Amino acid sequence: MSWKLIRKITIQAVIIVVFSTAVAVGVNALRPEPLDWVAAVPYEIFVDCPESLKTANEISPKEALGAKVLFVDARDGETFKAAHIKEAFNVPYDPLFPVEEAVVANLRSQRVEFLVVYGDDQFGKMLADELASAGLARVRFVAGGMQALKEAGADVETQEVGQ
Amino acid sequence: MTEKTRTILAAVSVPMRLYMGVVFIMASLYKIYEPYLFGLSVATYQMAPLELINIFAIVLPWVELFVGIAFIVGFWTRANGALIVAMMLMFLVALSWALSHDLQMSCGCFASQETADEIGIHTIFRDLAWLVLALFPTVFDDGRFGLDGLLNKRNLKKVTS
Repeated sequence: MSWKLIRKITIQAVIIVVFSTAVAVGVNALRPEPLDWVAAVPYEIFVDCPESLKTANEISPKEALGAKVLFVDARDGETFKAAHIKEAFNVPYDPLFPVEEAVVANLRSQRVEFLVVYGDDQFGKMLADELASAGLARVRFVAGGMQALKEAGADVETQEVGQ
Repeated sequence: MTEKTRTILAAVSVPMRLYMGVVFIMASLYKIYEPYLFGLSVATYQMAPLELINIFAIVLPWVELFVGIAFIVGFWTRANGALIVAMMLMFLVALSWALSHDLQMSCGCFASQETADEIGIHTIFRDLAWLVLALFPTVFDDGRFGLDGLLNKRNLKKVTS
C-alpha cells in the first residue's frame, strides 16, 4: 500500500466516523428519553459475589459473654439502631458487596480475645466467614444471633451508641 | 501483483465482506434500539471511564451500522475494512481485559448482559477469526466487485470521453 492510498483510506475513515457521529447525535436528540452524553451516576453493574475461603467457628452465647470480645452486628443499620448488644460494632452485611477494607482494618486493630459476629439470620455466619477469609484471626459467630445472646443475659442497648 | 491476481483476491473477499457486513449490522441493531443497555455492557467491562461510556454507547452502534452497510455494498471498501479491523482490535483488547480480570459477563456484542452467553476463550477465537475476515478485504480488495468498482468505471469513462 502506498502512502497516498493510506492517506485516502484515513480520510475516508474519518468521514465515515464523523457522518456516523452526526447521525448518532441526531437520533439520540430525537429519542423520547435521550441518553445523557455523560452518565450522571455510575452504572449499576453486576459483580461476582465475594467468595469466603475460610469458615469461622461457632461460639456459644455463654462463652462469648464470658470472654473479652468485640461483638460485630451483621444486621442492617436501622435494626441495629433499634436494639443491639452493648458496645457492638455494626457491619451491615450484604452478600453482594465485600466488606470495606477500612472496616476490616478497624476490626483487625481491636485488642480482644474474639470477634463475635451475630445477626438475625444466616448473614451473621456469612459475615463471620468473610471476615475470617479477609485474614482476621479468632472470628466466631453465634448461632441464633441476637436472640440467643439476649437469652444468655447479654446487655442490650437501644440507642444509637456503640458504633 | 498482476491484474488477474487482484481480481481473484477481490472476488475471494466478497463473501468475507458480506459476512462481516451482516455481523456488524446485526451487532448494531440492539445497541441502537437499547443504548442504555449497551452502555451497561460497556460499563460491565470496568475499563472505560464513566465520562466516556455514554458517548461510546451512542456513537459506536451507528459506526457499526454504516460500516456494515458500506462493507456489503463495497463503498470505500478499504476504509470501512480498516474501521472494522480497528473495532475488532478494540473488542479483542476489551475481551482480554475482562477475561484476565475473571469478569463473568457476556461480551455485549449482540444482546444485553442478561440474555447473551458468557465470554470465554471461545469469544477471543471468534473475534480473531472475524479480524482475519475483515483484514483480508482491507488489504486485498480494491472494491472492484462493489460500488467502488462502478464509481471507478464511471469516473474512467468521464475522463476518457
